[in-house]
Amino acid sequence: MAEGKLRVKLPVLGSDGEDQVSRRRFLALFGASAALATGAGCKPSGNRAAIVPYTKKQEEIVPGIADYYASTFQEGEVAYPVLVKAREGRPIHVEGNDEHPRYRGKTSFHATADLLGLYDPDRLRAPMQDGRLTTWNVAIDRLASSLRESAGRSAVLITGAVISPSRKTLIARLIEAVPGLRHVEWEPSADHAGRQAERALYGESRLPRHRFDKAWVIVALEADFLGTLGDTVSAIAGFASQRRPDSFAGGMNRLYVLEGGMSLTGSRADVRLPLRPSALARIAFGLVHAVALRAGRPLPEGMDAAALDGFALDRLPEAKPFAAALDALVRDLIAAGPKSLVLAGPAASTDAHAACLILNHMLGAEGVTVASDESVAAPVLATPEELAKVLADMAAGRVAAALFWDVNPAYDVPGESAWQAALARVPLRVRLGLLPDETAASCNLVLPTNHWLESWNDFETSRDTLTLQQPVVAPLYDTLQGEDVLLRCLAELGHPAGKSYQDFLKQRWQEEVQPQGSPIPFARFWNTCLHDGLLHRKAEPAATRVLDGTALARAAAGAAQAARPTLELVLDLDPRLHDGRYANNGWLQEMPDPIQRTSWGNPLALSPADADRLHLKNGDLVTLDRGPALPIVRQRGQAEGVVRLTLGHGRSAGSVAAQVGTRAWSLTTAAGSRVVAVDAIRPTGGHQDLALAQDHDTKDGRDIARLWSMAEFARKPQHEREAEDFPSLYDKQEQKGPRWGMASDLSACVGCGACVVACQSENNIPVVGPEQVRKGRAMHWMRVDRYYEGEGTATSVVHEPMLCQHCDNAPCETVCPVQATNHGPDGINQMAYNRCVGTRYCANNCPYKVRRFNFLDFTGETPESMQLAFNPEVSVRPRGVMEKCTFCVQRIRNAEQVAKRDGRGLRDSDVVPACASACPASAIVFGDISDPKSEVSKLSRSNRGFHVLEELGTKPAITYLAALKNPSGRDGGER
Amino acid sequence: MKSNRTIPQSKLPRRTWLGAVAAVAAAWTGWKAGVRRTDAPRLSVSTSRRPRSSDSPRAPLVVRPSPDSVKRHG
Repeated sequence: MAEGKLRVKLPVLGSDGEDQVSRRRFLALFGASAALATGAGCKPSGNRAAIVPYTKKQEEIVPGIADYYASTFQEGEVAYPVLVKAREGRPIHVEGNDEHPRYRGKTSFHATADLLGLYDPDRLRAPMQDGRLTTWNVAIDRLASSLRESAGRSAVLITGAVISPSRKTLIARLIEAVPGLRHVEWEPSADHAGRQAERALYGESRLPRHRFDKAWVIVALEADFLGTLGDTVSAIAGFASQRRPDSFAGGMNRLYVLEGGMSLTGSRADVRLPLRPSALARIAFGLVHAVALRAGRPLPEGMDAAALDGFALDRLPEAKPFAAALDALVRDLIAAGPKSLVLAGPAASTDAHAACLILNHMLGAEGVTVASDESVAAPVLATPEELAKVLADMAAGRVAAALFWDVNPAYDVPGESAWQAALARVPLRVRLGLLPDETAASCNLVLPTNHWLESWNDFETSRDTLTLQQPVVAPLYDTLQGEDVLLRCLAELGHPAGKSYQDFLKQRWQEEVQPQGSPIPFARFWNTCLHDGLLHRKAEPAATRVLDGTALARAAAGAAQAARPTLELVLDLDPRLHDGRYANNGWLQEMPDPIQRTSWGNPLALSPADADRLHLKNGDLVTLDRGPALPIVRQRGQAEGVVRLTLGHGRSAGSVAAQVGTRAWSLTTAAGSRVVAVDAIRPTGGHQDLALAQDHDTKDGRDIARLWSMAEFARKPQHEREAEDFPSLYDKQEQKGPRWGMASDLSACVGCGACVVACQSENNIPVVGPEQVRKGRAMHWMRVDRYYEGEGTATSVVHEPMLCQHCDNAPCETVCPVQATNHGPDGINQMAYNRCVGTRYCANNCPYKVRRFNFLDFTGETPESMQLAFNPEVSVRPRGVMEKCTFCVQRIRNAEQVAKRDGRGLRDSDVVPACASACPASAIVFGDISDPKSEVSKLSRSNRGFHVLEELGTKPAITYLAALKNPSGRDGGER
Repeated sequence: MKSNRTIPQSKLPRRTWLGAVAAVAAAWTGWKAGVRRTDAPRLSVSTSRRPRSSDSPRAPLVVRPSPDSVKRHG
């Protein structure tokens, strides 16, 4: 009623119902919503923490000053000495330990990248029992009681390779305390075939120790020693030391590679023979036959020459297409004698390995390039068959407790059903490890262990050196070192062996390592060893080994009967992810494969001829006899009838690793063979775009990367190069002080990509993911371009590290509307990030395509733990900003400040950027190019020197030295 | 005495003002999403596949130097 009156009393003009609202009301609502939106947008972030000064400063830490700790990184049977940089107590960068005589400051890029493993947000942070959080006391109590009660049934401890004498001693103590305990060392990536051949011929196995620096002629049979086989750092350093002749007369080694797929080592071959793996054993025995016949080298005692009768190279059908090259190979081997080195890899059969051992023996290489006298006994690793027997015991209910320590058999053992069946009958399954991986998912006791940067240990991989591992940071979470878990278990079992593993290690070193009667107090000895990261010791060479000729005859018979399948699948380790242990590492996932140039995945490599026959292009999906559909990549230089897939992908656990690529371990045979016969390749008709970092396979006729044969090099002027002065419209740059520049020797560069990872770690370069890589938005400041030359069997490869050239006449500088990129007084092409407005004109105008744009906010939501990996000396760039190589300007400024503090000028070796420091081949040299005496100046004047796109008049600060190839035959040069 | 004179007011349909409010909210949401794009992978970690908290309970992250280690130089 009242409402009706009101409506009569207050008629609304133009009213046509209740859908109308007054302007005032609308404005009020609009204003309120805008104010609310603004208020919501401006509210402080819940995660924001206050920045407070040190109220309780750690005595060891000086803010702003980096600390360095020597330590050791273990990868399988190799221990790489490292130097870890820490800022404000947190490790931020890993480089090689310059005190080590063999590594001289170089290390594996896996060590550099594994910094992310420390800060991985996936890490286990507390012990768990049956899926629930528990305490260490409860966990240890359960483990110890289970071991105590395992009488009657056995317990199994499965670890990776044990190359630590102290860890070995500790495990021996545990075995004493738990009589039924079996210790199994499992390394899925090990070269089981090679180990088996060595044991058959020599009756023992030693850790491989090859002297590539002494080898003139190297023959590699499916042996990717530059990429994945064993100690790649020493191999690259030694190999590269023989690849940089100052003149034609300087000499250079010669590398023959016999392989099916194209490996990193194959890409640097002087002569590459694309052969099926099944043919290798016969060809290797053909080489034995030829060396014995031509050089009259005596066969080992006990070997009947008649066993080699069927292996004459001219009669082997596989050898016929390569008769001339094999003939030259034999001549080279005979000429080089003890300075030869013949190697086989995991894809070669045991028989092929045996032939390589006999070749080295006949040529006198044993003790020269095969330095087994400097090596120590190899750990006794379980073969896949032996591991299968352990799993069968578990499945039969004969195992009461199984401990998996730093191994992941649920992922890398072939046959998932066998694994599941085995685990189902084991009452206590314990996982000691870093991450909640596939094996942890099957265990009822999951014990988080320390990262190696939080751990103590020692390693022995050669007779003359022991290396030490020390923590750079105290454990970030509630974790224990695996050895400490064993020690606490021992104490619980009534066999105490030490308060902590640190004490155990120190005690062992005091009793067994420090020389007897040394006048130096142990504390000083220990601290000195920790400071250096290693201990040099005088060691007698190991006893000379005697080769069993009768075993060789058996191998020859095996080689003669080797099957010849129509299609062979080669399963190689991934140079980035190894056997899969680094699959949760974003840096390594995004790092492009050095040959295929793909990241985030493992496509199946096919030879172009096979791909053409099936009408396949890059990314097309195919299936093999079993397993899922796989995208393919056309691989130049690959042998017909060979397909190649890398291991290490296709994990099912890990926030980064899961569902990336294909799990190739499921395709290996039960015997662990890395070569599998395949019936057919069937295209599915599907397609999956590959995350390719490089679209161009060739140089398209441009002279941007030079690869010369020694004969071509001989025709070049053999004097210092004079810099060409191209006409320019710009004034010459005025230099004040040094002009920083770089020289990159393409002859030494093997394309491993260590520089890419080091740059990423040093400069806070974000990971963008596969989708962005497909769009060409990868953020690497440095890339290693790969170009092919030639076709088919004559395919050659040149690798070229490409980064900002810091041009004197930089095309990027002139187009920046806000002067965000400009020229520094020391020649550096600088970036002022907070001035950049993101026009991208500079990237457009850069002929080298080395500028990277933050299309998205790639770093804004970096998890808390991952933020600790950032280098505080380098800005983290936001969205909308251009970035690129700075020549590690933070290192230059640091060196300048140190020099100023010391009252001296800069020395040539004072500034070493991250890429140069990491390069195991020492192919990158940095310094002042205005100083004619500096190393970089000398290299810049080399007669192999050139600038990329020099004709544009950009005046780059980086000089490349042409790659050299030393093929045999007419195009080859003399040594 | 209360005047009966009506105040002239122009009216807008409710649909229009609701639309305007929604547009403001959508614009703000879009801007926010653009600046902080959450489905892009971060340094080493794709946020679309975060670890399950039940797998790995959050423990406090403590950074402190290892007391017995020996540093090279600083």
